[in-house]
Amino acid sequence: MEDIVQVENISYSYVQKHCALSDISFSVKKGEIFSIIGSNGCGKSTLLHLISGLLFPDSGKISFKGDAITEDSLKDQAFNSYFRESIGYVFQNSDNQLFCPTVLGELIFGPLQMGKTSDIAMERAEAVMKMLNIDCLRDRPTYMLSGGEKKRVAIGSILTMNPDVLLIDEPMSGLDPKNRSFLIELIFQLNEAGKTIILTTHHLELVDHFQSRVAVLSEQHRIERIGNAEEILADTDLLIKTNLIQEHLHRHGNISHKHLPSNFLFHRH
Amino acid sequence: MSNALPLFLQTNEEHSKKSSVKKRHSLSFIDRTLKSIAELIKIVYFQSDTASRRGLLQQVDARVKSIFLFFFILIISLNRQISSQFFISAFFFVLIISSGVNLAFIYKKVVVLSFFFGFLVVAPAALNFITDGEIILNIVHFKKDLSFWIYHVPSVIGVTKEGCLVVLGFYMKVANSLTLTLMIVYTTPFNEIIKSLRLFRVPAMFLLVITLTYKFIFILAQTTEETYFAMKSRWWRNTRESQMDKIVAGRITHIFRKSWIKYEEIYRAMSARGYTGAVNISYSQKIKYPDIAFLVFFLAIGVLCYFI
Repeated sequence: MEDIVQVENISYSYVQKHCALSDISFSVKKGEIFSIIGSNGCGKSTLLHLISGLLFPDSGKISFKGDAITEDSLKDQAFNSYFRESIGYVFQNSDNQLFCPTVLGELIFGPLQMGKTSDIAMERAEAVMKMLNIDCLRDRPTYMLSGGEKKRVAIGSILTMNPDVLLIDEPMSGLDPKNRSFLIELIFQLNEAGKTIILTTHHLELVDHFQSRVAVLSEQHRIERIGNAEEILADTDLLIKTNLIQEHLHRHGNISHKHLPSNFLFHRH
Repeated sequence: MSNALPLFLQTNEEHSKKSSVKKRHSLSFIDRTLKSIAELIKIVYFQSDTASRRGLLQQVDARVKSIFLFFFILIISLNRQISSQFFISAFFFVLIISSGVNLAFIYKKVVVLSFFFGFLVVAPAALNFITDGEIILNIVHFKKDLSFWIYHVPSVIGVTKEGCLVVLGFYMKVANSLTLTLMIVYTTPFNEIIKSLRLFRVPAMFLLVITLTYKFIFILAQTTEETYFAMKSRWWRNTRESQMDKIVAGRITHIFRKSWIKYEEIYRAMSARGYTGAVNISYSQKIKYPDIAFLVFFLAIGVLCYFI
């Protein structure tokens, strides 16, 4: 499989002061699910901002299908259109992602920008609304939605563009179990349909569900390890070191004791 | 929820990166505005960064710095000697260097603002029909003097030496006041500046409102930045103006509603911690001896500047 996204030795600092990423390198193959995991503040969201060409690295290079993504290359309107059509980004905070007055407006915005006709844009919006069960919200202003509804609309607004690559920042944040299960199934289906998925999370259950290739970011903003889900989840020392698991105190009857979380380590059928 | 993917999502579209016209995309007005609002975050980061360094002024108590600020503003305003203004400038320059604040950052702002508010506004005062004196540069030459009503225009209009000194003096006053204010702002954490205003009997409720406003502006800037990114990630062609209007209107409503929700949440959080209408801001930290020494030193320099 060809590499669709290549990240080579990138570093990024906020205000040229606070290091967010340091010497990060990896590549993502076409059609795979790739997870970026790490504790809070390790630079996961910044990394997705860089891959989607919203921020630009201080050093290093990011390529999409072999083309360098730089501030200059994205000033070329044709290349910018091609790149934005190809990569869809679902933000962690859906509230800030939704900027159109209504849900329907949000869903048709992308296809219209791509130059699709209003009919096609509407057709796509209807299909996505039906799939995500948000057709009852079509004329509702986005600020009047609940957290879960906002997340679904945010995902829908990207899906109507039908991008090749989906960047999903913390997909499970703010979702109830029903929405979580639905979203996991949706990600599987999109991946089976040929979409490349790059997601960030600090929920190890998700890594276990997808059994994807995983990049572990350390609290020092570096790549600590890249490997498959099974070997990463089996490396307890690595997970403790990167602050992805910690001992927790709990009770059994009258007895309190501490141990590491076991739900994903002993996942059995 | 139906789990079946719509047909269009089951196919991968061919996206072309070729275009017959090689167009360069430039930032629109709204794009630029949103970006500049987002830049506010950088300024806040910069301020908190310089205020937390271990420089000379950073170690001085905020209350002492507030007295220093108001005292020197008074000295700068009352003093008419240009030599004193130059002495004050040199003193501030030394303080900025010893506090480790980026000189270019402060003086860039000072030069630009002083040019508009300290030079352009009083520039006509350099001319001989406003400030009488020895002409050092002729501008216009009429055949004879012109007089009408209470006005008198001399036959030669030019820049006078005395006029230049008036303009220079005013420019120095504005530049020094700005340098002083920026120097204090960039070496003192925002919350300390606000707390120190209690010294001047500013009502606690007023200070609380300023603190909340500052915090809210920061949150607003973060929200705006993220929204800007979200727009940029889906907005790769020039959007039609009518559509743009709708988006901007939507964002204004969104921000207004968000502000309202935040206001209610903050009020509840304050009530939950015992707020009943009266605000008590304590300043538990005591002024130390080095702070008093600094205060005496600053006041002495100020008096010296006044009498130079």
